Amino acid sequence: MEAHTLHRRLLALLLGIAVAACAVSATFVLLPTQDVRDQNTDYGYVYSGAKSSSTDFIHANMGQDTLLVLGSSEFSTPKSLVPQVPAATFGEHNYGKRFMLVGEAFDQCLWDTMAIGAIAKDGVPQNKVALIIGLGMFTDGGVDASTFSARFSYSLYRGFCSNKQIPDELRQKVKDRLAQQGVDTNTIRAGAPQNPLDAIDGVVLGGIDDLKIRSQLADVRSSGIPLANGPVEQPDWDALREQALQDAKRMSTNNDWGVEDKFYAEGLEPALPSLKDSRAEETYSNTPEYDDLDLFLQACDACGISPLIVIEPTLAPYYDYIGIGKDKRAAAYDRIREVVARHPSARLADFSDHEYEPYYLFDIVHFGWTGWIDAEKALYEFATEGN
Amino acid sequence: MARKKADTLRSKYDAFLGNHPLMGDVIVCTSVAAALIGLFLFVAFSGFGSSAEFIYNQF
Repeated sequence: MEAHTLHRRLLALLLGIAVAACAVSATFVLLPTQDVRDQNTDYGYVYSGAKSSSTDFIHANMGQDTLLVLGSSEFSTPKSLVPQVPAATFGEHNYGKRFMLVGEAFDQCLWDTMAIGAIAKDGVPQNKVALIIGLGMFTDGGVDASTFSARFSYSLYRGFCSNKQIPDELRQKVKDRLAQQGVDTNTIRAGAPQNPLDAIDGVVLGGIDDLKIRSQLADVRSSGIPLANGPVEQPDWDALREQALQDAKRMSTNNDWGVEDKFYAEGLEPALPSLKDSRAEETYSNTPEYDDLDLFLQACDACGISPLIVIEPTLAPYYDYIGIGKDKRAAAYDRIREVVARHPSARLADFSDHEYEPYYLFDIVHFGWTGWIDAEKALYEFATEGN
Repeated sequence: MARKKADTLRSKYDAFLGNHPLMGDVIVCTSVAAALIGLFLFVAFSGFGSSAEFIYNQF
């Protein structure tokens, strides 16, 4: 190839790179930033991983009347299945308090630790947070690496690392746990850069994560509900619980365990013959989750936040059937209580004694009709305390 | 046979570029831009690595 042709091709290559750079820049400019919101819409009850990973969006949609509530798959329960979910009870009535639900299926205490550290960097309303946990998080072996990596949020990790209230020792413990969970070294280093290469990694990872979240927030913005703006009412918990019981009796008719009909008929009953004592080896003891819960509480302590730990029960008759007996579950609940008791600012809303109560769960692990009402009452009382 | 066909295609390509000298530059430019934009769109928006759906048997 002649020299002048080679030069032209080189210029063409550089032009191609420039065109691509312009296209990428245009994407950044055209997508709304994470903090864009509609003032009259409540996004607190939208179940979304993108929302849960965006501290800007979370902060833009919280007011002083908001209680930050961290959790996982229980937030995915639709109103059509359980009419008592927070989106209905608090989203459709102005009780003077709103919830910002943050978390998605498989988000566990290590994820929650990063989330509270990242969110608390810019303050949390009333310095309060609630965390909903259940025994499903404490199974032997902990959450596997592939599941964890699917839910790992670089943005939350970076926010956690940059929160100056978090002590170095705690930051290092989280980094060590991330390494154990299979997060690659470059990503861990990029969250708290020690050299220019780490910083470049951080810019690239942060930019890509920002774009992903911004593109996915479009779905969240179209899923909000009108802000409940009427006069402030006082919740009538007795009436709400009675209504929950009526709804439950209508929606749970084909089983004695008090779970939802379709779940029992399609998800549980066909599998039961093969499930008898199938989990007899489970101990709820061989897992890092208890230490991760402690990390979460340490992060709350460091940020001056009072946490309420809500213990969601499991469906006891089912767990007895699959071989995880009452004693094992009681030991796990005790261990959770011991971890919480180490932190004077932490409180418990312990519903584990409702394990055998029909209608408390709509499936085997998630709050159902009466369960949600009791949990919401605890959250509401926690949020209004001291006001 | 295949070799002869490839030679024919190559000579046609060279002849085309000889008659349209700018087309080679255009091909390089658009290929590079398309590859980079494609890579960017895949990494940023494909959902590759996004979170798993909730499944009961996890519990």
